[in-house]
Amino acid sequence: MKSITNVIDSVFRFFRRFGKLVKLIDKKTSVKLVVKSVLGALLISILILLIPVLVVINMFIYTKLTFLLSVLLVFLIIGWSYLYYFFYYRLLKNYHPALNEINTKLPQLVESTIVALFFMVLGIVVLSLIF
Amino acid sequence: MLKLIKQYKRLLIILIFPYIYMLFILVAPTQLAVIAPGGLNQVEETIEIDGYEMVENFNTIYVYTYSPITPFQSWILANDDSIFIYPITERDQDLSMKDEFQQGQLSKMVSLRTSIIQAYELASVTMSEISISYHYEGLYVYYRPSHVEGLEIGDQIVAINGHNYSDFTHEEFKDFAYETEVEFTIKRTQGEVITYHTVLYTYTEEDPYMIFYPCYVIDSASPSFNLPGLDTIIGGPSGGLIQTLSIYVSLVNINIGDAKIAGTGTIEMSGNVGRIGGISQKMYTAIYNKVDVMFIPASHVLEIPNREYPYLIIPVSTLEEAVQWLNEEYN
Repeated sequence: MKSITNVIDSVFRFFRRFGKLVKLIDKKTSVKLVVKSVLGALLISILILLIPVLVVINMFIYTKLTFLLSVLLVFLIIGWSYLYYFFYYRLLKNYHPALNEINTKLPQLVESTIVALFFMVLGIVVLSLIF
Repeated sequence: MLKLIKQYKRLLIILIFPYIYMLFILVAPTQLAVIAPGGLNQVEETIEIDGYEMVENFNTIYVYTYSPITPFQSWILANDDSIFIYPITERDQDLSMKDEFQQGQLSKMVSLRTSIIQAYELASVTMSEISISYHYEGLYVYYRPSHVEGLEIGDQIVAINGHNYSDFTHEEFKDFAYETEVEFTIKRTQGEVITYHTVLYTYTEEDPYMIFYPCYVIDSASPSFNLPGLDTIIGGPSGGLIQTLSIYVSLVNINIGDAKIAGTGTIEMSGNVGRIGGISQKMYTAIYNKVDVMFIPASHVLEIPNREYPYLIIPVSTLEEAVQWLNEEYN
């Protein structure tokens, strides 16, 4: 019972820390540069994943591999969320050097994991509907 | 962003050319199309006959067509024996996706009607309670050059240069359609609404020939039937022979046992079995789906891949030959 309470406690502490860091980052950034970072991160992450995604889409011509390729596509989209947040924070730090002193690793990981989980659930739903 | 680009300037310059090249081979369309093995469709799900249970043994075979393919796809498929790569024809280039879909649906409808007529007529020879009456009602447009205004795929031609379909056989009526200058009287059905209009067309050497399907209308049939297969997206005429056999076997009640029978070949009103596309891919599909017997048009025998087949291949030229084989094997 005590160990469960400890786990719940540490989860709450973790998210409180995450919330504090996000607030701190928000304080030190301007909307204009956040938008620029978002667009830049979108561009870079899409350009990186475009070739592997197109290879997988081209491979759909092998009808026997359809399921495997669909799963691979879901993994690539999940991977895209990590890639996007990596470049987002990288660009944000470039625009706001003051952020170098803040631990951005934690918000980066939490946010990309939340988006990745969303894509994973969406992927599972879509795959189960198709196959 | 610029700072980042400057930081990785050399790497970006090195990568940009292979990147654009890869993008090109993955996206650019070639002048090639592909036929790949597909799957089986149970005829039982396509046709319902009142008071009769459709046998589960018969399966039509479908294949996948991709057009156009990318250079990358043409490379990876080049050494695959089960896939057929061919140059896109002038007709294919002239068709939109909607046209291709309509062609598939039209040929399927004509094929199903022909199958019903042929199977009922054959079954009525031995079973007096089975009967069917039908009449000829002109031509369906299957292909027309897309620049011809007022003529759509699926339109029904009821008169050509003043000649009405009712005075001619299908072959005679079709000959009028290939005259150099024609005036088609078109009957177009859209839901409940039927409209008539005329289309003038002069054949030029640049135009691919038009293709027509016969329009036979079933007036009455006993037992009555439904065609749920008309509502599916899979189209094409190549299931004609197998559909006919399935209806016939269900009507006369031949016991096929557990045999999984598949086949391909169009069915014509003369009872002849016509040629189809993608015969090799259909042979492979039959292997992948573990069929026991495979009916193919006799005219394709020399074209199928030379290999061991785990099923019995029955080449037939007419419906009678196929029925005779079934009777000898299972009756």
